[in-house]
Amino acid sequence: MAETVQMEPPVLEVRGFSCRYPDSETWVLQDLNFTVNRGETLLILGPSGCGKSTLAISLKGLIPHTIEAEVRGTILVEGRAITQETFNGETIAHMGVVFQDPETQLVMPRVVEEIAFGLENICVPTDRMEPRIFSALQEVGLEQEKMRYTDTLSRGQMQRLALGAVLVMEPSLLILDEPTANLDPLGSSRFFTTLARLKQERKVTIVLIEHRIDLALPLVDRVLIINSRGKIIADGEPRSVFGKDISRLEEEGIWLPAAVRIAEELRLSGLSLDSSPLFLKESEKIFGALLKHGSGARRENPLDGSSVPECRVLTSTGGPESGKRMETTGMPAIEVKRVGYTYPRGTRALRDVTLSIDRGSFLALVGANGSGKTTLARLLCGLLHPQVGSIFLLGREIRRVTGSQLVHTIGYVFQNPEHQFVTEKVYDELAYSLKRHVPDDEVDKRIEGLIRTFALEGYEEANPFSLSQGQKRRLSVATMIALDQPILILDEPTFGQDMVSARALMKLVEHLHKRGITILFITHDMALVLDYAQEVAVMNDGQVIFRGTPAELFQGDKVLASASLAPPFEVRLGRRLGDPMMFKRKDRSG
Amino acid sequence: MIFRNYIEGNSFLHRINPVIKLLAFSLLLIVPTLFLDPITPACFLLLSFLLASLLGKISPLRLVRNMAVFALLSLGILMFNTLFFGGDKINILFHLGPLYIYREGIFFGLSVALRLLCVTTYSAVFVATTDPTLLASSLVHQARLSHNIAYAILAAYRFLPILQRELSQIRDAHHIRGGYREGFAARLSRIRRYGIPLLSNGIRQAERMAISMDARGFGISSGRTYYRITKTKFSDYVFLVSALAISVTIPLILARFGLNSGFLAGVAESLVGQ
Repeated sequence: MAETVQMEPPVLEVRGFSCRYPDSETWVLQDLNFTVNRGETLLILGPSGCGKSTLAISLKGLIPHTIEAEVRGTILVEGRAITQETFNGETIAHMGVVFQDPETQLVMPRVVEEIAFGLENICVPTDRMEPRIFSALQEVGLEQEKMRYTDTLSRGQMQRLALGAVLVMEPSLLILDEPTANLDPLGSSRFFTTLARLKQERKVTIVLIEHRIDLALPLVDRVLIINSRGKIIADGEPRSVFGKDISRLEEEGIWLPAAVRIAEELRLSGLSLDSSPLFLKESEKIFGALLKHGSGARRENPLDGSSVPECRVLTSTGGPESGKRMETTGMPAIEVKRVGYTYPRGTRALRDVTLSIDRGSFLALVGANGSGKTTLARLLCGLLHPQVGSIFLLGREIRRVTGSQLVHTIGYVFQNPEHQFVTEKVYDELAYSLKRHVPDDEVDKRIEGLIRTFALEGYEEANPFSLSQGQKRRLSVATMIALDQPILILDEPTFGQDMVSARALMKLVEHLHKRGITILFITHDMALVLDYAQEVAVMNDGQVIFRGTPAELFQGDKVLASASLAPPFEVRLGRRLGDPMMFKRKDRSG
Repeated sequence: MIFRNYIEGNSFLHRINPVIKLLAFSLLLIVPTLFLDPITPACFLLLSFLLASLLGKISPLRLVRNMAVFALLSLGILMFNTLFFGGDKINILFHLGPLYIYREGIFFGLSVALRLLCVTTYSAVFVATTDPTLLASSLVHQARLSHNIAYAILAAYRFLPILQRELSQIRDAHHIRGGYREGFAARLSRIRRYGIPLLSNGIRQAERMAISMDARGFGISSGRTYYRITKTKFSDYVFLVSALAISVTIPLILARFGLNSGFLAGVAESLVGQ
């Protein structure tokens, strides 16, 4: 077997490939050279905006054959270059692409028609379709949904359907462009389980483009890293890529595997580590031995060096670090009392929600898709009105609060920053609410302050849509606190962010919290809960099923499992070593 | 949304070939609009409900719900024409203070409202009993439409809810920034302020959809095969011929009793020797 693999030409060979779009000076991708062998899974990592998606559609031949762009170099698929002549049904079928957004990549009304679409395009005779469709549906676990309308599926199901719709064409190469970026943890893990089975049973070759990697890592044979200028900076097995010079990867904004990041922090705190582990079991062995050896019987928090008590305080009292805690007055910032909400179409989003959030809290709201988190947030900021029960903001019933007062009380940062931009200039975006509510002479002064705080200097005249992902996100937060709103709700704040901008953002949120703003953030990212939240509320099926500290939440799996959530790598590792919270991140600089 | 009101089923109407059904329904929908009296559209309206419930297994209630907006609009037209009729006023029926109600006004209002209702019900019954994918397939196979256009229509169908969601997101964005005002002037300025982001987001989404279609080989070869094929059956032609027969017979019968009016009514009357 081994010989035949070597004899065969690589499934994909990229030679000196560069690409730039019309009207653009800069090359999105620069002189890429790499190969993908049969049966191999290649993970391509890079900061947001590094041209990963451009690469995906270039590999497929869509650039330059259907999308206009200037290219140099060649891409060989199964040993053949894609040219105008060979860009045909056969080449198309060789490579299947799954894109990031589940909704916009589905084109047909029903599940079965979506699967059939590719076969129709490459003229597979009608009587040969059914068996292929059936096996594709089976492979992605959607046999039961065959006749359903695609827009009634969950996002996780949509994404598996998109996978099925390319599998049916029996591709020898699968290109996946951030396939789980828009899914909840359950949807993501199901997607990767499906992929793992395909890899094992069908020996498919996979090019996986991602920027969060812990779920993907067990599948990966090789890692390729592209930097923000579109150049390859690392290519090799995960162990060798993540084994050395990690600081360079971090500077580039690359998400590192949790184990690698922990190892790096341990190294920085002065412990010596020969090799970085990647997976849970080896991490347990290596870190376990190291911590026992390095710090004797003292249970030191390895990421903080000094602050053992901090961890203890968290675990024992459940209270947040005392130094950071705000003065809480008797009146809670948000009080939700037995609220129910049913959408006009009959979906019962909230059953009976009671939740009280003190002033100065830093609370994470977690739960699977459809558990009611976003509905609750929309009720809090007045986009929806409670049908049952009542909501109090700073002690006032929300029904008695006027629209203008509400705008001054609560800011709501959307999941996708692009959805909330309402003007065509960064300056106007910041001025939008200010102009309506603040005296004119004060507007400029406030905007200046916001621009500085959110590091947007020089972009005042830019179009919000032209900003980088990180800048867009910062701008979206800035617009929501422009009026000094005392309560800020953030919906998936790290959505679509690379590691550098995600961390910069959370630091900013912590800064706002220190200024006294009550923070409520909705997230799927359990590592974010571990690292930043002081309290957590878990929602499931329209109810709050847990309220407590992250330490309490991560003690057991019961609550998490009943809400279809899973603890992050750091917690699973910490548990094995005796303390679920021991790998909570501390930003030394902050 | 009326375009997305397909009701799952396997009734006689569901099974009729979509293009044949389109032809038959067009006939039933156009004929009543050619008469100026209220009785002709009333008969066709009655027929549409009978068709829906007997052959389409769609209850009248469901049908009314699907076209509620148009039903209200028709009612408005009726009221307006009844109250402010501008034609020859001869027969006063009664008066409410300064408002005089004429027989001619009611007659005219009814004829306009019922014709509008006719157009709406037949469209609603068609949409409710026609699977969009089969319609596209049938447009290609029976009407010889280019498959590129047929699939573009299908993609647009998928696109509607996406666009609707975009719109509500934009509305939320303005709302939350305190930019939401009541009143007519605000409503007008909203159209402009929502329009630009809606358009630019819409184009972005449409682009993604197009790339996804290309990536699966759409348009890569000049032909294509079809997973669901529509053919024409004997019963399709029976249905078409019956529709033709009925849409001729109803005006003729009405003409026999002098109940319809308009140019075609004259033709019909001369045909039945009135």
